[in-house]
Amino acid sequence: MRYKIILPLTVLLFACRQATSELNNAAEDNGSIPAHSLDGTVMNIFVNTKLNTTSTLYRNDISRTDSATDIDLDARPASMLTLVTWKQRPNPRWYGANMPDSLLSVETLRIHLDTFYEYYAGRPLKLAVNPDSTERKIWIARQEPMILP
Amino acid sequence: MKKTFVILILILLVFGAAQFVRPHITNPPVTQEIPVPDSVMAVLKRSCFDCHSNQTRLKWFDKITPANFLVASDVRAARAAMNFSNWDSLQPSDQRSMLFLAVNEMRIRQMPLKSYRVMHPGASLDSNDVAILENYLAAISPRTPNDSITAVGMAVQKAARPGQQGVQVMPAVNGIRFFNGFDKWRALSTADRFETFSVRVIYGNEIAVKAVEEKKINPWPDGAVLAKSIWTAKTDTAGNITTGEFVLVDFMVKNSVLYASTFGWGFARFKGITLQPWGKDPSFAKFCMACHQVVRSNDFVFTYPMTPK
Repeated sequence: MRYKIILPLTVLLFACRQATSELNNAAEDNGSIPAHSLDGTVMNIFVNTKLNTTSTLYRNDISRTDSATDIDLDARPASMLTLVTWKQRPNPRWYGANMPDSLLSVETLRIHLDTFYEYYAGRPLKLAVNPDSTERKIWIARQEPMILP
Repeated sequence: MKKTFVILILILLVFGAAQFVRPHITNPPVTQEIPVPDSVMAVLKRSCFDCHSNQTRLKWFDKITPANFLVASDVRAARAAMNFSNWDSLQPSDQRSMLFLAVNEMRIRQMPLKSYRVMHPGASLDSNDVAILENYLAAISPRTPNDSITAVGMAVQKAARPGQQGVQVMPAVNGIRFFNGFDKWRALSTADRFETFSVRVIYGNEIAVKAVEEKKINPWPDGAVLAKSIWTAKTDTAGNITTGEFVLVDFMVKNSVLYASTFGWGFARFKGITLQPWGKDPSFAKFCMACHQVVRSNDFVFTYPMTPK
């Protein structure tokens, strides 16, 4: 009788652990970043080998424009760019590959006539003041989309 | 009693006669031995060379029929896959890739083969041996600044994007089509591969994303499609990396019935900015499987998907 209870429980616990370990939980959002931040499509990705970080720049659908069309920035409706930065770690499944690890910061840049910048950092992520916000706004705004066929 | 004795004698006679039937295991000339430091060579010679070189050393028990047929078969297959005695037959980039694959197989104790390790315990690798090989691979994979020359190639690609011009992309030889709009799918993860000097985004279609959200990815459900888009790593002198030239996009299409012979996944690769389907016949999948078999316990997927918010 005891085995009838223990066995299913063991299987359940094992199954839960398996499912969790297959996901990159360390890279999950653990704070109060804007809900739409990760909804955009990937615009480009970056790696800083000195800081051992990796970043993904997302853009929302509104701001998705082909650089070839050269649309005037101010003529567009509001656009949102989001730069998410993670610590980097080796992929345990393949020596030679690095992947995102713990979430370090989220920077959002809304572009419409004027720019509106927000910076989230810490664990859990909280709205914070970035002393380098001027440089960061310029850096994010000037990034070009990656080449796609 | 007498009958048992006769049977035993017969078995011994057959076994003895069988020793005159043996496969021919030769050691052909070495054209170029893999040029590596002594510490690396010591590991390779101890654990790999018996099968993956033309310097096979057979123990007395390896020569007994019928075991020697198995040994000969293993040696033939191993030399065909990678031969440290004909290292010059590989392009430099392929040499590095083969070593990375080998080390990754060693990390999960897939190599040396268990059947070989049982009979040759001295060939087993410990974590120090693997670390010696990993450190060597890291040393021969430097991140060299290439931003200027990459920018030239990127400009050429920007002028020739077929997607922007509505060009029809041919399906892969196994019938898998190019998934238009894959770059609008949710990004499940990114990868920075220092062994191939590339950066990658791994996307998932709606079924794949739902599976991630529900934490049901081992196995992935039928209908899930993963896209792995690869760019060269555009690297500057300060160590910053971003996407350079578009290299290719790989698709993995999950259908456990249709693709049962290839781990339940249909593989397709579209190369270059013109998205040329890769592979002359459906057997091209064996090249995909050669690496993906390393992660068989994770439904043959390397990516740890990030859970969406």
